[in-house]
Amino acid sequence: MNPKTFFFMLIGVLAVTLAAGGGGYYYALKRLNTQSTELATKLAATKAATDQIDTLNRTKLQYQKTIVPILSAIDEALPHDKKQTEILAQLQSIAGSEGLAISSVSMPSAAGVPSLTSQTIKTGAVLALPINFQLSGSYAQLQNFLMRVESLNRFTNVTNLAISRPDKNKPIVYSISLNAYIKP
Amino acid sequence: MINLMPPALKEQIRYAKLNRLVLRYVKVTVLVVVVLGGIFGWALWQVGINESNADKDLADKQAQISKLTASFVPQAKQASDRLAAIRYVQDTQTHFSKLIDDIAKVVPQGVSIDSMTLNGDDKTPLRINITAQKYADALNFRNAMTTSPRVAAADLESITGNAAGGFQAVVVVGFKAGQAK
Repeated sequence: MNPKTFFFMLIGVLAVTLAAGGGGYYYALKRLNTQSTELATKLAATKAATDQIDTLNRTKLQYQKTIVPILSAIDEALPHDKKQTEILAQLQSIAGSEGLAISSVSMPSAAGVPSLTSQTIKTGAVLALPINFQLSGSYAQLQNFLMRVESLNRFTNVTNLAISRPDKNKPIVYSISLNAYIKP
Repeated sequence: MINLMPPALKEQIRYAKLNRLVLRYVKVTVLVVVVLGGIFGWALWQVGINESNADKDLADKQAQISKLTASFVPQAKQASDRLAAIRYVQDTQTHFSKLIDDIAKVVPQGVSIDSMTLNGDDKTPLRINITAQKYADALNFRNAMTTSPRVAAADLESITGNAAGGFQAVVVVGFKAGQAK
């Protein structure tokens, strides 16, 4: 091989090396960029997941510290089922201890098969068991009765109170509509 | 000095000299390409390792989130719903014991309430039927009702004398907003 031929061969090798190097550089840079972007996205997702775990752990701690100890009180105040006999017994007991006499109690007819929430009506976020009853006694006794009903450990609400005195010589008659609340 | 070599030979000698230079360039270029290739290869390998670690870390954390979500979130949601329900109940709760106490406070001597119906609605007027010993007592009752902080206004609808010598009266009371329960 003479020097001239070798020269052209070297120029060819140089050109191919430069082209391959340039192409490789471009490809590698592009791939590095893509992979770096992917890595950044994954790191951001990891950071977001870490933050979410922190938030969940903090909320769990707060839940265990503040809500768990009062869960039984919440369930008592807003029971999962209507606990009909308990509330009726409570009303009877309060009325009796205040010297009032419950002459009648009525609740809505069950629309279907009796269940833990039958006879209830939906009121906002809760179910309400309407209880209508009649009492007779003095005004002061009624006040005490209402005060004790309003401070029961179960949420109730007197929705209607009608006071009448058909006979001046007899005790005043009170017709009360009360909702006992349930959250199934 | 006179170069007596034939032109063809002279040309070969010139190419031979150029070849030395070009060969040096080729070596440098190959070296640069190899070094750059090495650097890029190492960088890509490192990024690949970091990516794989990030994938593993993310998968671990997602598993942890799923576990926490499954074990705790339903309970927290249920408790939150119950608390929201309690707030609703408290917001709509009536306190008729206080209301009748406030009404009783302003009932003047010589007047007794015969009937009234409380329903907690401040948009509906409260109709109170009373028995007064004297005509003036019925008027006093209406005036006394307006002194209650809960009452916006009171109207006398009727005053009728009864057989016992007293007076039956009807007073209609309008409550201030939110004061009827």
